[in-house]
Amino acid sequence: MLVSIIDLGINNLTSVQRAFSLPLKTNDKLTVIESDLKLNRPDLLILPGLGSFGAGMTALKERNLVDRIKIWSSQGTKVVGICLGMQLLASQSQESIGVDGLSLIDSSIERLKNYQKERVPHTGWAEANCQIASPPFPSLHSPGDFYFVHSYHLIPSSAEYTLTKTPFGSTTFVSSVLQKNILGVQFHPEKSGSKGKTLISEIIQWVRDED
Amino acid sequence: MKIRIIPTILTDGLTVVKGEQFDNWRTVGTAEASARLYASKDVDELLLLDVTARSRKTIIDKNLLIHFSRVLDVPFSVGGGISTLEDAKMCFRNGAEKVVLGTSAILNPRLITEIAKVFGNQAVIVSVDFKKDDSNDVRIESGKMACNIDSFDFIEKLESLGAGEVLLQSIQRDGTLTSMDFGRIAKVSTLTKLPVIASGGASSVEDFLQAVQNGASAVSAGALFQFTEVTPKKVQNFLNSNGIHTRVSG
Repeated sequence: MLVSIIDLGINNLTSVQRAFSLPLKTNDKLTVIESDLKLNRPDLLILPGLGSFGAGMTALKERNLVDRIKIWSSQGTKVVGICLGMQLLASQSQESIGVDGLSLIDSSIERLKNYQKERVPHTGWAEANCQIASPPFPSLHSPGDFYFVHSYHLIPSSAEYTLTKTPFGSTTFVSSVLQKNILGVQFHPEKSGSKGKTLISEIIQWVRDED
Repeated sequence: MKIRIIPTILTDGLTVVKGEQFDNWRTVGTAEASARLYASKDVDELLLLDVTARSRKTIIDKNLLIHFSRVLDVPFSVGGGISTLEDAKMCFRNGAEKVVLGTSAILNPRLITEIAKVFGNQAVIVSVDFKKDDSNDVRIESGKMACNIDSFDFIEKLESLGAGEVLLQSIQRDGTLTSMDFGRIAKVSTLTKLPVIASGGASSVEDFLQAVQNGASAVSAGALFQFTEVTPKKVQNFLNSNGIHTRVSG
C-alpha cells in the first residue's frame, strides 16, 4: 500500500506523518508529495490542513496538484481531507469568496455562527456522533472526543454524505463526510490521543480491505 | 464547548523551569520528560513557552518542537520569541497547533493578522500579561517592561486583528499557587468573544471551577500540576461533578 501526504508548506506535517506511519506494515510505503513530479498514484492520499481556504487552494495550484488529485480520486485513490483539507474538498467557501475548491464532495463551507456560550474558533474536544449504521470505521460508534480547531464548517448538498455530526451550542454541524472513496474529517485525528489513533488505523484498514 | 485543562511547560530552551512572578527561574527537569509524562496522561492540550527566548534574542528551539511532536498525540501551542511569519511557520511545520504571541503582538499587532491570514485565526493565541490584580498595567518582555497600551482596548481589538484565543496571564500570581484573578478573568471574558485561557496562580480544583464560572474557556496551570497532587484528570472529574463538561477520552 502506498500512502502519500500532500505537503502544502503550511500544514502540521510532522504530526500527520507520524500518526499515519504507525499502523503501516513493513511493505507499505509513506511518501510526502511536494510537487507533481515523479509521482505514483497512491492508494491513500492525505490532505492535511491548517490555514485558510484561499491559502490552501493557492498552495495546491502552485504545486500543480489540483487536477492530479481529481484524476487520482476518479481512478480509485482514497482521499482523506483533515480540517482545512476537508474543507478544500468542497466547491467553495465563505472564507475565501471566489476561490474554487476541489469539488470532490458536493458541498460548501460556511462560517460557524457565534451561539450563546459558544465561541468561534471552535477550539477543543467534542464528540462526533455517527449518523450511519455500519460505517467503515466502527470506532465512530464508541464514546470518545476528537480535537477540533476551526472557524468554518462543511455543509454537504445531500445528507447521505454525512458521517458524523457534532453538537455546537443548541445546534450541530457536520464533522465528517464520506462520499464513496472521499473522506473528510473536520477534527484532527492525529491530535486526538488514543481515539484518533484508533480511527487512523481503521482508515488504513479501509484502504487495505479494497486493495 | 467543553472546557480545556492545559498544563503549561515553561522552558529556558533546554530545561523545564519554574519561576515566580515571571522571574527567578530554576531548572526542574527536561522538557521532553515533561512532554512524555503529560502524553501518557492523555491531557487535553499542552502549552510550551520559552520564557527566556526573547531576552536571548532567539526563538523557541526547533529541535525541542520536533521532540514534542514525536511524543505528543494531543495538540500543543508554543510561544517564545516568535516575531515574524517565518518564525510561526517554523513552529507549525514542526507540529505546533497554535503559536502564542506576547510582546511581538503588542509591539506589532499586524503580525497577528499576517499569521492568521496564512494559518487561520484559530492558530494564533495572544498572551496579555497583567502585572497586578488591581491595575491595568500590561507588561511585555516577560513582565519586565511596561507598555503604553490601553489593555482593554487592545483585548477588544484582538478578534478583528485575527487572533483566535486570548491567554490571560497574571504575573503577580504566576507560580505562586495563591488562587487566580477571577475579577480580571470575568472582565476580559466580557470584552472579547474569543475563547479566554486563564492562567496564573491556580492552586486547587475549585480555582478551575471558579475561573470557568467567570467566563474562561480553558484554564492553564504549571506549578500546580508539577508540584502538587492535583492532576488534569482530577480537575476534569471535579468540573464534571459540578455540571461542567470536559473531554471524554476514547
